[in-house]
Formats: sequence, structure tokens, C-alpha cells
Amino acid sequence: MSAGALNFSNEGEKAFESGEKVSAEFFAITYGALVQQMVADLVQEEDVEVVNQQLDAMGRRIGSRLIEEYSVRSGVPACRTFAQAADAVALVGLRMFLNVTATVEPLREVGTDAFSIKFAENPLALFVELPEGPLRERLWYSNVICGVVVGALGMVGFLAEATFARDMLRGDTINEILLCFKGREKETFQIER
Amino acid sequence: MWFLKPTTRNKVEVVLLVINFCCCCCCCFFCCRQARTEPLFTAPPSHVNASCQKSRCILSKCHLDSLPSSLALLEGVGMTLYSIYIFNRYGDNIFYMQWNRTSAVQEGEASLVAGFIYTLQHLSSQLSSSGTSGLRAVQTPFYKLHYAETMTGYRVALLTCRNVSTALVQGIFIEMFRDVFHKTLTRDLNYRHEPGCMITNPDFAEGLEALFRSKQLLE
Repeated sequence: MSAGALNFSNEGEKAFESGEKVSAEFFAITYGALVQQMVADLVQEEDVEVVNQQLDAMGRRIGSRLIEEYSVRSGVPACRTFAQAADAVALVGLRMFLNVTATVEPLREVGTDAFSIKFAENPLALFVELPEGPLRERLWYSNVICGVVVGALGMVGFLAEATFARDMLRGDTINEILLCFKGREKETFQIER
Repeated sequence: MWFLKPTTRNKVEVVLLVINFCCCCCCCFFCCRQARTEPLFTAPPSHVNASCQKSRCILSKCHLDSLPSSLALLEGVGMTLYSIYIFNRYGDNIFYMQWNRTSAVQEGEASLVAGFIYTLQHLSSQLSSSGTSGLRAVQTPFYKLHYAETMTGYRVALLTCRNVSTALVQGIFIEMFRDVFHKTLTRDLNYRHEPGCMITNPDFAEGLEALFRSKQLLE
């Protein structure tokens, strides 16, 4: 782990300790009830992708508010590059809000500005089992995390795309989110003439 | 003429001695705007004599030398708040409040303040040796403008008398973002950081004034 990453990790831990906390079980069950309701509301039982999209949209709205708390409580300065932003997401943000120990490493594909974020424990998936069938094959149960990351990065000028690549609920050995850089947001500060 | 006064943290405080620079600065940003012949924001105390008021657009050293008693009197007065502007990341003036302001509000003033702080912030970033935004305060003979921004794009301009220290206000800004913003905006379901969305939660203004009172800036 580089010195910068170690600093980020320490900042994430401090931010988590200083924040308000709620019961992890309560949080997990609340989220589970939400997802279950979304699945129950599906008009077509096979349209699991709709739930993924709803979780992502909800996450974006959450992320645009969480970044405000992150900006004043994390103690980490604004990121200048997307690599720094990926480090901040994995080592500070996930730790600060979910107490998740994650690792981040760049993907080695040529011409790609993308990062892989891996974490073993997922507090949203406590007590959760997915039944065999369309849900297990196509539902990204914790897709709200991807939405939060994209929504938060969007508020600090990074256009990004986050998708789950692996999920332990589907039988994979680890949870993995792919974070891809899509561009810098152009200046939004406009003044009436 | 204006000076850059570097501080130990490589921050830059810009001291303006010619108020016309403000007008030129904003006119550069709004290229089609006519130069203003009036100061952008002044709050001269009522005891300043008439000759000073008439020539306040251009203050030469001669004028400064001939007004030692007025300036000394100015320095002795307690800390005074004039007004605050808050802008979101889209440049909308989402909040304005005034307390001891003595000049009338001018049409389009918020846009000029936005252009002013935006331009100065970029100037100070480029001039800064550390490469980061260093604008914290701008001072003229009559007032001081304190500035802060968040990584999500909120910008705050607080106008005070010159007695208010930069360090005090920077600390107040940190508390404002951490407490008042967090409690009354980030968690307010009716407020979003989106174009055109104004701060309408009365708790925000109350929290802000309570913070200023706790720092003895308001009574």
C-alpha cells in the first residue's frame, strides 16, 4: 500500500469513528425490505434489470447528498485526478459510510481509465440469500452502492460509470465494482449577464 | 495598484487600494458591460466626511494621509457584518442576507459579486505558488470580503468591516458548512444542489445568525 493510500485509509477510519452510527442489522434489514418491495412491484417477474436501474437512480440521489457530508467531515482535500478519486472512494468513502475495508487497483486494459474496487464484507447483504432463478442471475443486490459512487463523483466534477462485476451473493468469492472514468464535467458556474 | 500579501500557508490575501480594480475585474468577465463609476459594495460609516465620500472611487495616498482621524475612528469600532451571498455550483445566488448594510441594494448586484469572487479565485489560483486556490479575503479601505468554497462548488462571500480577522471568519465558514449546512440543507428533503434551487428553509438563516452571534459578530 502506497503512503498516499495509507493516509487515505487512516482518514477513512477517523471519519467513520467520528460519524453518527446506526445498527448495521437495522440498516441491512431496511435495505432488504426496500429491495424486496421493488422486486414485488415488478410488473414482469423477469424484468430484474428494472430493479437494478431503480437502485442505481436512488443511489445517485443519495450520493449527491453524501458527498456534502464527505466534503466537510472526511478531512481529505479535493481530488485532482480520477486515480485519486478512485482511491478516495475505496479507502475513505466506503470506510466512512459503510465501514467497508476495500482495495482499489487500476485495470490494465490499454487506453482505459478504469479501476477495480474489491471488498469482502458487504453490510447491505447481511442475512441475504438470493433464490435460484432470474434474481440470482441478474439482480445486483447492492447496486445502490454504484449509484452512490456515481452521484457523489458527479458533484465534484468527475463523470463516471460504476458497475458490479462480481457479487458474493451470486456465488463469487469477492465483491467487485468496476469504476470507469467518462470525462471531466465542464465548468458549471454560470453568471447571468 | 494592488498588493499580494502571502501568509505562512501560501494563501493569498488581496489588498485593493483602488476600488476601480473591482469594476475592471468584473468588466473583464462581462465583456459587454460598461465600466461602473460607482463602487460595487460600500458601507461608509455616516461619520465619514463629505469630501471623502465624494472621492471614494479613487483613494490616493494623499487622501489616506489626510484622513487619519477617520480611519483611526473606523479601526476602533467593533466588528460589523454587512451582508452574505451564497452561490451554488451553477452560479445561482441561493441565499442573501444583510445586517448593518448602509448602501442600497443595486440591481444585478449578486451577479457582479459572483463574477468578482470567481475571477479573483482563479487569479489567486494561478498566482499561487502552491497551485491551489488560495483566495481567503479581499480588503478595501471601507470593507472586507471573506471567501470560502467547498469541493462540491458552494461559494460564500461575506462582507464585513475591516476589523474582522481572516482566521476567525475562515473558522466560522468551516463550522457553517459542517453544522448549519449539514443540518438544514443536506438533510432537507426540499432542498437539492441543482440549478435554480434556492435556500428556503428558515432554519438555515436562524442557524447562520446563531453561529454569528456565538462569535460576537452579531448581537
